[in-house]
Amino acid sequence: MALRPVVVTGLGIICAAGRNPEEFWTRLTTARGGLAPIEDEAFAVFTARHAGQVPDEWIDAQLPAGEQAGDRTARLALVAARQAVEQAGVEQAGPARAAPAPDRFGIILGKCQATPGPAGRYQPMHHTADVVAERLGLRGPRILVSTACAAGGNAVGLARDKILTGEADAVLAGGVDPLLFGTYAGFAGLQALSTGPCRPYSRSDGLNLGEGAAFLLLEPLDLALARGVTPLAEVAGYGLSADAYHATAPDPTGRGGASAVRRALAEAGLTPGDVHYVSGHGTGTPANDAMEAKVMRLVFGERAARVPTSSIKSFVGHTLGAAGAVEAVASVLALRHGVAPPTIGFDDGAQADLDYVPNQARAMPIDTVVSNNYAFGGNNVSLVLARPRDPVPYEPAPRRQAVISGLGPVTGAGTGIAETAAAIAAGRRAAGQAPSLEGRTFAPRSLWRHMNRLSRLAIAASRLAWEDAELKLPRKALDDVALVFATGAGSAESTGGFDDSIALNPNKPAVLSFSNVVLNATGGAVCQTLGLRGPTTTLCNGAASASIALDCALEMIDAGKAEVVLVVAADETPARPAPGGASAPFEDDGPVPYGAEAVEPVTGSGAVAFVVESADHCAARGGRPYARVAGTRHAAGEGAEPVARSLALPGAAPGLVVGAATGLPRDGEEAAAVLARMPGALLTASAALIGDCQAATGAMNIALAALAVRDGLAPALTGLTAPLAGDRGSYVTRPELAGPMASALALTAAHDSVRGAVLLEAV
Amino acid sequence: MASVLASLHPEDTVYGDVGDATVPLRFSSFPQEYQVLRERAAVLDLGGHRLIEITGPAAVDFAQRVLARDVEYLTSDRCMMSLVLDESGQVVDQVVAFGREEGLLLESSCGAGARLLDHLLAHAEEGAEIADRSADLTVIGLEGPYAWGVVGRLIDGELASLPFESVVDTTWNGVDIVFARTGYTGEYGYQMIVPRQAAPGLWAGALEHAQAAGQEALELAMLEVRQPIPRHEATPGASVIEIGANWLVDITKDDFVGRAAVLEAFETGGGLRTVGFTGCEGVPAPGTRVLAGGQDVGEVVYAVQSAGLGATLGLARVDPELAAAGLGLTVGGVDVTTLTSPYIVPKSWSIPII
Repeated sequence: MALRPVVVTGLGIICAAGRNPEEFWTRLTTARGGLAPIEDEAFAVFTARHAGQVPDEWIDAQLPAGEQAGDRTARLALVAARQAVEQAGVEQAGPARAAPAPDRFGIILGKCQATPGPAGRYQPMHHTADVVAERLGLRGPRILVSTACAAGGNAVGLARDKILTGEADAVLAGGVDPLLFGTYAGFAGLQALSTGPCRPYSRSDGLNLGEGAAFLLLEPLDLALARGVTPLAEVAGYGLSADAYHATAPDPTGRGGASAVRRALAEAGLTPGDVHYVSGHGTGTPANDAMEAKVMRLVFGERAARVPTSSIKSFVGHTLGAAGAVEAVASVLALRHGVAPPTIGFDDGAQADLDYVPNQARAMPIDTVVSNNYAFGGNNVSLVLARPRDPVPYEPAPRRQAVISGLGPVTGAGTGIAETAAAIAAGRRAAGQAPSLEGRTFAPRSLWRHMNRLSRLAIAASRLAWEDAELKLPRKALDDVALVFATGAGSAESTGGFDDSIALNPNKPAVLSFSNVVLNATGGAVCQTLGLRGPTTTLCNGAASASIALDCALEMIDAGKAEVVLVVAADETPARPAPGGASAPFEDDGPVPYGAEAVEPVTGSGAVAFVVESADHCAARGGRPYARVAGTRHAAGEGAEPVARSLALPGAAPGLVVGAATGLPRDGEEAAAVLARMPGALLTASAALIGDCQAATGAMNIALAALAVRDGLAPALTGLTAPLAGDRGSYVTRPELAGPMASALALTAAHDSVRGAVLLEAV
Repeated sequence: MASVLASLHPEDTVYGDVGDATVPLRFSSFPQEYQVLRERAAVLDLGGHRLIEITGPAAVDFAQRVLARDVEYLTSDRCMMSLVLDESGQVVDQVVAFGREEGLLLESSCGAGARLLDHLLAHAEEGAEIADRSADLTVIGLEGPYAWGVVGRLIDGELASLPFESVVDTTWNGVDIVFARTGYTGEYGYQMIVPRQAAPGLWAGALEHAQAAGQEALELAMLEVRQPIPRHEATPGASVIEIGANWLVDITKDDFVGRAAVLEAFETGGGLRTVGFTGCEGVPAPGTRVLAGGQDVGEVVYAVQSAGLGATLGLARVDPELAAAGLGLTVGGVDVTTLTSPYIVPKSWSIPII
């Protein structure tokens, strides 16, 4: 029996080729592109000047002037999000058109760049999603996906997953990115920009950057019909893959891209023969366009020349994190209207052995569209959109038991689980201390010496988790091992190095740093080093990223997309200068989480990886799991309210809670909620051991909960005298627990955005 | 060691002894074979390359110790070229190391397999099994600007655009083979490791789409892009720096046989350097003195007549300050000019794989 059909019922878009879906579609079908020279004098330093810009008045006419003033990213996103919500009619609550409950209405946003707020400083990656959610009152699943130029398409796929798991009745899925000077300089430095309007698939002499936002409102077909709205298209399936090849260049064989398309078609229950039209990535760079032609030939074989494929990037430019969503909107409209948009700027004299729909839109029967995106970091995504079906009986999405079978913490407390356990047992505290990778290279030296610090940490953590799980898989099996990377802010070293180089001379950007500025670069480096080519994605929800990544891993296992998923979380801040030299011990270990004296956490760097495996796979190979994942829950929203909501895991009565406290006054909210709901549990937090390492601290909470379940060890809150809630008896004050825990709960928190809870049980 | 393919080669094939191997030097006409390699696609009988397998729990540690480059994480879909050195830093051989699920497979250079095997056995460690697989495996190469097209017609077009030094376990005609993107001449290059009994079939199949080229054409094309040929260049006493094979060692590795000697050579910076030259009439013999302004500054390593340049092409080992392009030197009393490598531009550099 089929899974519950998930359909698109609303579209929103603002980009250089239109301020709403109607205008966008008119321009696509009449071949009127939106690329133009940038007039901003700052860009005069570059030879290449064409880009796809959104006129300010298009935004201003659709948003009140004061709304998110100074935050162009949020304003673009709000325009498109409201259009989609309006078309879907989900704001018009009433007996016939019941709006989804706020807790079951989510947002999954794709974004490639860290973007500045009104003061010019980088905002947290998830900030734009928080703004849209807050404005539209969405308190359901909230995910920021940052697989660079594949993020928009990836967001649509993840939204489908959230509906299939039953966590949401509606999800706003899309992407946004503004045109940023630094990014422009980076692409110019890579010699990737065309000096005129780009000409994908023919001249292929470079790309143009663009900006914009696009959203699709996804909901189950049955609920859409019950609300009396018209389904526009079914999101029939999606596929992710990793090239495991190079930081910026696509695998020239097209293997990675082809694998994403094949996975998407398999999920949709379709074959290449069912595909009528392919919306290509078509950036216009020689490497991309050549690789895409190979993907077409690999997937469609003899039929490749008869499957029309076009790129709309010569209309709108490359909108990076928005591109996949912009193209998904175009694909839905192509299905609706039975028209394939053209590749404009196509050189009619070019010899092409594929059908690129040159320069003129083509009316044709279209029931199935494949929309592809390929990104830096070797991340590929393919979406399958199909003409909506009539409602069919459906079965719930399958659930499978999953276990955590390997731990790889790399923090100031130790490199590997053995060192970490020893540090916990010894009652050591290492907040703010830099992890040590002395004595071992974790990747081929030819790669290792060019890697930034965050990639080295993440690769070390991944390899150690892999070794801890005692996984020995042949090369072929690695093609299906998935990787989910979780990070708050990616590489501070590369971002800083790149920004500094631009400030000095925009025409001499630090290109190696630029390739590592994208948030998924580290995940890509892990895939490349370990040779993992399964589904891959990168999630950026601050310190809650790791539990959201675990959710994503479980969904991959449930859906049969992977038997083994490596979850890796990493973040960095400059190490604390030690008072007497690098090797001197710290006298001040920072505030004790949940302590009344806590004012501000000690920030640090670290990477924590864990292996998530289907219980069947682990048992079949004789693995020794730490714990079974009994349940997860996330709650989005501001303030203290989501804390209690995140703890509402059915049947949870853990003996231990590894909390998200880091040494803030608001740690008390969490402690009070835990003690109220789980009075029998002892409370601790991994920040006591390693400080606040953002996503890595969230992952450490999960890892240490797993350790407590199997080995009965947990970090003690030594020095806790006056807790913010309850008394000392409710906290872990010595590392040896009474024994292995039957169950333990790990918490994560991106404050005022999303909180997570992961329940682990003994196997 | 004779090639398993010898019975298939034309009767008038000219063979020669290269180290411990007897290999086809040319099948018909050297200039024509060279032209095929540089202009179209050549099939190479690499039966003179010995295959040595290292397996067992200590396989990777052993390989890491005997190979000068870093193979700790050489996965079964990668291969790389590396020097094998003795304790004094002298070149034992230059191998292609293939990562395998159960260890590594080393491919010797032409005719150097026996010496390599002896060296490995002399350094054998418990837990690392060393096995000569040449009795059941052989190597066939493809090289040329359109070699990728041959791959498509012979096996699978998907393999043609594999990244450099990628390895795939695949099948040809139902036979398991190891397929690798490699390259010795600057042209698109591939190697197929194939069971000996299936080799004649694969050779014949390849000949339907390409022409055979012998060792002479291959070695000339290698020299033209400064691909090291150890039997000509690893002269007794020369350090890896003097040979110009620095890129085939990795001194950031903690340890490998010969590391101390290489490190010393790096640190002292002494000795000569190797540079290409052209210009003189005829082919000077190895050891011919090289003069600069009347001063003896070094000697000829070896030289040949280059079809690509239409002139003499050689390598000279000279004082470091003279190992630069565009200088006038004298070889055997005749003026020559030093060159920067590659000495010819391979056609493959301007031909995309479609």
